[in-house]
Amino acid sequence: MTTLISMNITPVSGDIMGAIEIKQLKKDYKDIQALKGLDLVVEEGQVYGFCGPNGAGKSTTLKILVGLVFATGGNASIKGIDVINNGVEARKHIGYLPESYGMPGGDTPRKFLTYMGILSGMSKEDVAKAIESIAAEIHLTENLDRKIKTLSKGNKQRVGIAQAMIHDPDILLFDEPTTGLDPLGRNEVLDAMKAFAERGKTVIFSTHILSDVEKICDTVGIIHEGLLIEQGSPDELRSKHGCKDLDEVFLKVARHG
Amino acid sequence: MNFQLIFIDMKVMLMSKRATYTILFLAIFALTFAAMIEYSPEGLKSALEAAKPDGSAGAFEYMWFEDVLKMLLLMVVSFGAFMISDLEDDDTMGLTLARPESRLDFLIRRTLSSVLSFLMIFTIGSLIAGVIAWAIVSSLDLPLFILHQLMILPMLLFVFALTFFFSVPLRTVTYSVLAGFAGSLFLSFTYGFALMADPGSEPSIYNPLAFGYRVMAGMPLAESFLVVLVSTIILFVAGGLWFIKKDI
Amino acid sequence: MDNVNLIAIVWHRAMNNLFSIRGLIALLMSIYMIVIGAYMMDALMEAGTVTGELYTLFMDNPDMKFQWFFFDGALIKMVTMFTAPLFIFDAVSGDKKGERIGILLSRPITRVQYMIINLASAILAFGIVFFGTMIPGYFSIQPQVPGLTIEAYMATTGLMFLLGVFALCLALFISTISKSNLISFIMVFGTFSFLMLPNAMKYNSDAFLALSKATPHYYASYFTTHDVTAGSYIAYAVIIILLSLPFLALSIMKFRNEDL
Repeated sequence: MTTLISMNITPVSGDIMGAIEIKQLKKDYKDIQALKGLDLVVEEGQVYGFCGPNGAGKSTTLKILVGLVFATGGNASIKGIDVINNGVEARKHIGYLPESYGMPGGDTPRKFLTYMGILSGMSKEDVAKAIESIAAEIHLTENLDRKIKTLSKGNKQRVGIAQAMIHDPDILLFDEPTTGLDPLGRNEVLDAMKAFAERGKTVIFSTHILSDVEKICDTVGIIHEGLLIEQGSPDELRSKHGCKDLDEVFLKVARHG
Repeated sequence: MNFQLIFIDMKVMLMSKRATYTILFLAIFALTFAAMIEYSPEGLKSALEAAKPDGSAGAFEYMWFEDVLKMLLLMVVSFGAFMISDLEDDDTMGLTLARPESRLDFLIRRTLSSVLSFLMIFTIGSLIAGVIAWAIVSSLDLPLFILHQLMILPMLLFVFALTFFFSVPLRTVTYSVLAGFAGSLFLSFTYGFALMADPGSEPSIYNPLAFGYRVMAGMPLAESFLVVLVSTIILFVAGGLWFIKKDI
Repeated sequence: MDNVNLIAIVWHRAMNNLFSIRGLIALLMSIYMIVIGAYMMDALMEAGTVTGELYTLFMDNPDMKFQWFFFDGALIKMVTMFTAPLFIFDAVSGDKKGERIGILLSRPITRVQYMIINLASAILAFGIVFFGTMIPGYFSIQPQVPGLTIEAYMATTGLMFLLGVFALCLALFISTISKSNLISFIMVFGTFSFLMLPNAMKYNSDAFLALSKATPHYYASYFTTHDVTAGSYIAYAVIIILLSLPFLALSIMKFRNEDL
């Protein structure tokens, strides 16, 4: 097993105050160890690409941050707030988009987003304004009053993104947000994340599509078998491993774990 | 018609938890029915005897039987809903209908496998239920008890068809079972209340769910059976035609 | 950002429940029960007929006290078997199956609040349908039963509403532990069908009376055959609530530490 020092990954210390700090995070399920002591820091204002093979622990990590799954060891914080012991407070600062999710098909995006906004502590008036603003940003305006079940996959994903952003969180956690979208849709999602980060916010998204990572990420973290095995900017990783693109880096690193 | 597929479908249904629960409920039904008969005081029995008209059982004896029968309706509606709604729920309808099989063949296959599975489960459950009931109430006429249970099958098949019919527009399992159950309750309460208002009368032959009462009360069955049969067929056919024509 | 407005969320969810197919089914069944109840009262109160004698037999025969059929035989059945559980049987299992749970719980609400929202919105929706039909129902029943005062009617109705709350708490628990909407549906409606039975037989069998006293149905139906007394009423209302709370507690305990 490769140690953190030899991989030149900065160990997490008490002095580092990132948007997200994860220390020795562990998660054991019945017969597998999904996370084996993950250490990770994401600085504020970064766009962080979280990559890894299937089953590496990406979704588990994000779910622990959101409080859907309970860690069996270690700790994690969002803007200094412990997600395990103070989850509600931590969740005021995050917007989350799971890999797979459902929405009430009979509702319109406007109705659904209103509910989500209120559920996030916004007033009805603030929600109404936010809906118009976000819809314009992600090209959802003309579909705001159509039933969700009639929307295309791309538009449904826009609604999913909108619900994560509606309460103007500081941090976006997206689990494979561009999977299944056409190139136009993917570009729009990436642009939305980039615009969000340019406002000083933080974005963490997990993905298999490394070309997306190359387009917008400041930092890439590669997780494998529950541990962070590589981290750096796309340029750093390419030159360090002598690869022409991140796909090659991913394959090389994931194979040799 | 691919009979191999029918057998595969049946195997899945017979090995499912629903099958186990249905047999379990039949056993609970028998236990409760037998306990009620065994532990009712003689005063009640004779009062019921006094209330009944010549040649038929007391309305209220059957009402109690009916309370437990409603549990059985729950299982039946689930079988009816699972003819097509489970494919909607797990998003495999598109995958299934993209096969080189017409919608009509698909429906016939699903109907045969669901109905046959249900019949087998019900028969097995009735036998088990009968043995339990007989063990508690030793004076119980076991063959008659089992025969009575089997004779309410037409009614249960009607509920099956009703739920299938609702599942075509409502699509999901949840709404299909709700609508099927609500419809069944409506029909069974209606004839029950009519009997309460006018004890000794016969329930309407046009109410398919009154067939079970007629069986238990020893009333004429031919016309009532015909109504149940025809309404069951109409519901299956109407639901089937609707499914064949609708956009998925 | 303010703290989450739970009242607004409860209202929103209750309205969603009401203005849906399930709300429509609940409303239709409740109206049906009131209409039938009024019809039955009218039929049974006719003097000099077999039905009038049957009514006398039920109410006055000391050997066979049969519950006032409208409330016990029919309305309690509908309330606990169907109308109340309709609004909550798939609350948690449905959110899980529909993959909405991740989005909902990523909000700044605790899991306890989520459960309370589910229960409160279901109580609100059920209450609107229940009282929305029972109160007008009084005016259709009362002409046939002049001795029925609004106080006695509302007292008994109130206990029945609490019985519905019990049904909601139990259904919420079942929804929390079940893995699918269908299993939730079968378990919820099956359980209530089964719980009805001791209550139907209670005055005619000591064994069933004892069993019935372990269910809230006994306390909800008591005043249909006895005079309403304030002290007993409060005591029975408290008993029904106390029987409900463990299920709410169990639901919360189960859900709190569950990985989703």
